[in-house]
Amino acid sequence: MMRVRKVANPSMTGELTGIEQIAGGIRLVEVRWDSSSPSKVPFLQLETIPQGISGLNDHIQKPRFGQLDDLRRLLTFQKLQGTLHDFIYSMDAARIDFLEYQFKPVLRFIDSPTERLLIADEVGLGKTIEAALIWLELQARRNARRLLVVCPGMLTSKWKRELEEKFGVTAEIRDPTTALNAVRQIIRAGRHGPAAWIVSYTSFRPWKEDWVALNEPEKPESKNALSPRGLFLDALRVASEETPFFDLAIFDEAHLMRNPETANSRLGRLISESSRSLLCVSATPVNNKSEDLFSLLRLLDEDFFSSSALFDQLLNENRAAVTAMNCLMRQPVDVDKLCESLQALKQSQFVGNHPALDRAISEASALDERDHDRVIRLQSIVEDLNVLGGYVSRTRRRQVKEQRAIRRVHILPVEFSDEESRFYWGVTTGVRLRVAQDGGQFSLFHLITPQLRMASCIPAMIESYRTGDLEDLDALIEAGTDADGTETTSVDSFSRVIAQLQNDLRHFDFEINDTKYRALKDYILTQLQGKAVLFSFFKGTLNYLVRRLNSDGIRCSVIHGDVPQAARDEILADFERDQSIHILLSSEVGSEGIDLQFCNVLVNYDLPWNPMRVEQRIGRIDRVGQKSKTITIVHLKVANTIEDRVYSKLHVKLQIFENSIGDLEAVLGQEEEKLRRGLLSRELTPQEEEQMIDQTERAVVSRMNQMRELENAGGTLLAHGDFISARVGRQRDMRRFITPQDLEIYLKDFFSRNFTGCREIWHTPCAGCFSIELTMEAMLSLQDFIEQGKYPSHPGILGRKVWGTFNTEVAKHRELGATFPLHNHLSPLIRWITRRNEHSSGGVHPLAAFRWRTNKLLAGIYSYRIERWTLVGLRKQEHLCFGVSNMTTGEVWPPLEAEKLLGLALQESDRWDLAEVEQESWLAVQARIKEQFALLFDQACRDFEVRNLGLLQIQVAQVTRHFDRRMSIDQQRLATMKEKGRKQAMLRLIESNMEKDQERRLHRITELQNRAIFSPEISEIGAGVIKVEAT
Amino acid sequence: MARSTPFLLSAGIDFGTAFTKAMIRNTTTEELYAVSFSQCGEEVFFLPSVLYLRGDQLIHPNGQFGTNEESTIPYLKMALAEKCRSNPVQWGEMVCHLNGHKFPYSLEKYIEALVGCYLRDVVIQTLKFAFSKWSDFGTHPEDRIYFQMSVPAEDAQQEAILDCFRKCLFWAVDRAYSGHKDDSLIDIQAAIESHPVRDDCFFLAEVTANVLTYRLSRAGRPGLYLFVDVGAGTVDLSVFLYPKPEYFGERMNYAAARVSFTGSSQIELRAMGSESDQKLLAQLRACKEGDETFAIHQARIDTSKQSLVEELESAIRKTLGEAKDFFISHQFNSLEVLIGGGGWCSVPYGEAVKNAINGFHLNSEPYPLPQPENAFEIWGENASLLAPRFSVAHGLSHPYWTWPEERYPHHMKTMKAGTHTPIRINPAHEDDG
Repeated sequence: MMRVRKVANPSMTGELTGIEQIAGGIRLVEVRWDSSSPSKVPFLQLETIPQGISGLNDHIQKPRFGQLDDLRRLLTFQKLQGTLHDFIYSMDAARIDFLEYQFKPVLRFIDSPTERLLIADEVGLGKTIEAALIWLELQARRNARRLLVVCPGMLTSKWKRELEEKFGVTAEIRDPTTALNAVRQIIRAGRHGPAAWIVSYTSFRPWKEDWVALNEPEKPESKNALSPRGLFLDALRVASEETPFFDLAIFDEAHLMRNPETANSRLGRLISESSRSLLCVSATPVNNKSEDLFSLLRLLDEDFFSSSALFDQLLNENRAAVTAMNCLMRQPVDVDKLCESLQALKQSQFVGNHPALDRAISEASALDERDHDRVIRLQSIVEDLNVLGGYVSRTRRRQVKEQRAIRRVHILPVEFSDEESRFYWGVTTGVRLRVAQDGGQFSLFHLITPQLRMASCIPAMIESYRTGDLEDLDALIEAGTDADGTETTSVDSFSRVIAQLQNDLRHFDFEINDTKYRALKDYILTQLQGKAVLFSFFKGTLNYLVRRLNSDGIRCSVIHGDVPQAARDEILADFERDQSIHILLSSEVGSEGIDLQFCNVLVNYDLPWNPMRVEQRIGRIDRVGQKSKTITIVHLKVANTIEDRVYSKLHVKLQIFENSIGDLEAVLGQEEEKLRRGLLSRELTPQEEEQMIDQTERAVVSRMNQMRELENAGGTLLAHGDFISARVGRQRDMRRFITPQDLEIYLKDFFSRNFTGCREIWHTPCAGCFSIELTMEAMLSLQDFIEQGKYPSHPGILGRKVWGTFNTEVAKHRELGATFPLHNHLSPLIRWITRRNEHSSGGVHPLAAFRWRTNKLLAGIYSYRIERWTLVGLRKQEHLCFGVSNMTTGEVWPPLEAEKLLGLALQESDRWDLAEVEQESWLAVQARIKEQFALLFDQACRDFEVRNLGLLQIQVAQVTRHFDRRMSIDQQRLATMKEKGRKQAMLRLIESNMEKDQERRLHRITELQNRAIFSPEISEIGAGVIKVEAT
Repeated sequence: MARSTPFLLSAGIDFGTAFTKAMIRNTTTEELYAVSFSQCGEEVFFLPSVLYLRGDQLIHPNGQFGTNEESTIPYLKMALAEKCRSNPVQWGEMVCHLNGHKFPYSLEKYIEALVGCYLRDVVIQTLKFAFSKWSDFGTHPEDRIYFQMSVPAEDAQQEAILDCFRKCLFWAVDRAYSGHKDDSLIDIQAAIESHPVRDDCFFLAEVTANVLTYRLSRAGRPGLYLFVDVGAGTVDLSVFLYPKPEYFGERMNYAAARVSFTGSSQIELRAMGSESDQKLLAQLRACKEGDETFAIHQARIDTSKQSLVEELESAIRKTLGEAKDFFISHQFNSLEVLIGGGGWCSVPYGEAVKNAINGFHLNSEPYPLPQPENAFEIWGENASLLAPRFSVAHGLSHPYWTWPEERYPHHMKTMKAGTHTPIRINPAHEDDG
């Protein structure tokens, strides 16, 4: 049968059935279409498909141009294969606002040779979002299936909520037993199952006995006594022997693992070995005096960061790479300094032999800074030489261009009545006595709690002691100290002191005469504008305030540690929605992980002494997404109290309310402890108290300045990330991400070609929403795909109904987003379409023609060509290469400009039906672009080979170090055992382990060398013509 | 460079009782546009189906008038149908009453001549529009344009009536091409009568045209349907089977049809009751359309809607009841509801449909006829309101070679089971004869 296609739409192909008729004066023939049911068509609208046409070059020889949609379809199909290197698949794929800096870690991660990264942004910049974006990226790029998030217990719900609400990832909070069962189940099912688990450090860190048992391979019987967490970690290790079980492990608040001797750090090491990629998330400052930084990097890559001396050397040598990059980022490029820095790198033990270095030196010496493409390419090579940069991504608040809210402080002065004052000092005296007598037996926090309770709220304190309801203490300690392993005894013998004071003041009603509450009430009734969150350490204080405010007719909501997470979410949603509720009362623990950007006022009913705690409270409202230009921080300041002096002398001088103080947790924590002990361990005059606070303030300022200087100097360690930011901006400008429009066209096209009869309703009830009723056939195909791939359920797919939005703006909308869930390119719906399209190669005609009315180019006919270059070595890189040339003048645009032009043209162009061009010049121009591509491809291959060799060097060294370390441990163990005269069988076991390690090392290195064999490939994707007309 | 592939254009003309709408499709490139007509110097998409006479002189819609000397001739399509049923008197009397003059000729011929003239203007304007969109149209020797017009389904079943529509359009297209504009009405009558058949004009039942917009869209799929077309005056109900092409070829089989006088204007008309105040009518209409200024009339509107719900529900039940006899239960249970027309709203129409199909234990969400994606962009946000009024023109714009064969019930209003074209439940035994 004769193969034909539509002349005006050559992607419509089929064959003649032989049935024909004459009607309306024309000859109609029946065509059995490849992608739809047979139909009659005027013969005049068809043409036979020339024999032997298959690749792009055949089409170019006998051009028949398709439509604009053909090119759109073609590009979307290429993008959705998920392998393009210069592409950000996580962009516009989540319910988040676009912030350029949040994609820096994504790009760092894509480029990382080890896929191990520390995200060390300052607080409030959205590190959770950055980590989750990397997970999206991994899912798109290599169909990553299993994620593990390890975080403090109080953050598990926050992670679950954020992953689900913002990223559409349904994660489960696991305990060791359910996690163990799930691992076993996945292994039994052939390792295909997906997993997104959230676990806490405290539930999973190995007990000492577990750790010992897990590290004694010579005593397999010791595993019989493993606890559930030990069993889980053991199962994980076994499951990861060949291939790591998890695709990505994220350690949130990774500084909790900074001490290598702690159980947290051991947990980190065990999980690190079971995960292909690793992210540590922590606001750790980056400077060369930071031991925390070294500890975390060691966790990321224990073999590379093997000793602190080596780390210092790396920091020093890395400066030259940073300087080189800074030179390249400057305009004009400082070529001399660039060359000098690159030469300095030749001495580096880490990158001195890196093949990219020689390449960079030769490129730099001949650099023409006007050649933008070349500068960018050189930047990319030099970035490879920044070894530390591959491990750390750091953004500081001052680097973020977005408008931050201005902080305004509002003081509510309070004068205690005589009775209140007597009570206050009575308690303080009691506390001082207790601290003095304690002798370090109990934790300071425990001893001074009465002081803190009283400073918060006297009536609530009295009530707590009266009823004996003092269980707030643990929550207070958790909020006030590092949670790792702190054990406390909950004993309080202060009741007698309180009872005595109450008795002395029995005629005074502390509740009716509560001056602090009165000040708060006056403020709410007369000055409060907008929504406020009020913080107190104590649940008792919050309950007291709820009761008082309600009885005064002021509606409020309350959340604290005892309120279950689900209820907190509901309370919070009501608070945000209900305009009659102006104030949310919250404890530290209650608001942990909750973002309150819609509040513009923060009230400190009691004030933490540690400025870092104050900052954390403020951080709940002063964060990315705060819409208000100013935020007000209200402080109730009770005159002539210790807290008043701490505030005036310490907080005001440090300007903690007005300015973010950054991440100085470690500095301030120590000073706070000292100050508390000093102020509350003996009787002091007010002057003595002030002197002591002054000393603390000076110490803090000095240490803060020191830290800041170090941090600023740290810029020379890491580079400022401008190169990466520029890349993020470029990818966005060039639309190197999947857009909602791409997905809409892709989906419509798919259904019209494969499943006619599916009912689509688009842009109802508003732009961006869709709902589709599938035909039975389509539903079965989709369900089959989801079951086979074991994809988790999607809220927008149910039976024959598929609904939702591709538009993140719609998905972010409160009501619409709840009804129309986001389908990004990772949704099973789009994955299903891509899978089916892969089988039919997208079914797209490779030539297209369109008309572009613009003044960006001179009017005339232009020709374009697109190729896909696949470079395979240790890593696989795929690029789309674009070429555009003027058919009259022959001018050829460089690839980046060509890509930009085509991107714009795709958005702004109209159809150019039945385009025909002069054959000779069309072929000549295509040949010219192909020549340009050949040169560029050669260049890309050489660049890739250099990087590939560099990567091989790094990875071989890593494997060698890894096994050397293991064997050295075994060597030591063997020597010890020989000394102790252990049995021969035991010694043989260790020796056999060492032999196996040697074999494994060889095997891994050979495997790496085989994988590193370079294999380039060109796929010719498409070509066409653009008729440019002046507007 | 000269174009080497011909343009085959198909113009779908929805000759409506009140307004005429047209869409034109380039079947070669699959471009589709709503035709804009010129009227009194303005561009309109809805051309009143009205002629203006000054004495015996026709004034063309795009000419100058408004001097109060003109006679208005409305309801041209209705007149043509009435005439063909040998009952032209009612229309004639109405027109005479409106314009205060007598017809000098045979009324039947006169109506044909008027319709012919009107269609001639529509065709001329459609051609002009086509040239404005495809400036090189006509440069290829095989370039062609087809004129495709709808006929009420009831009329399409009667050969004599269909013939009248044919004659008028043949003549109109011929005169549009020849450029003659000044024939006298007497000459026109003669010319229409003797005009030869043209092979570039095609006719389709309105309901089929409507359904084609669905059938030829991405959403279209074979099945059994109840189509509810909510117009201003009537709601047209049709149950049809669109079988899989491999069984029957492309054929539309009507199992039952009914016209219910519950169209959207009935809401305010019934709310008026026996009153005849035009101002009140306008207020009621505004109230119906959600204008809160006239919320005072809401109770009347609601009562009226409720009466329509009951009446339409009853009509749907009867239609479905008649259709049910032709199908085995699982076939009937797969029935789906399509909705079209500019008057659709959830109350009373959605409610009536829901109540009626629930009575048959059917569970189908009414599905609106799909709109062409790019043809109405110029209307912006109003597209979703205006586009449904183009569904017939849209369907007609599909080239005639994609049209299905049609088989109608013989007597739509009085249809009883077994009186119309039999439809077998087992496609394998279908007799093509």
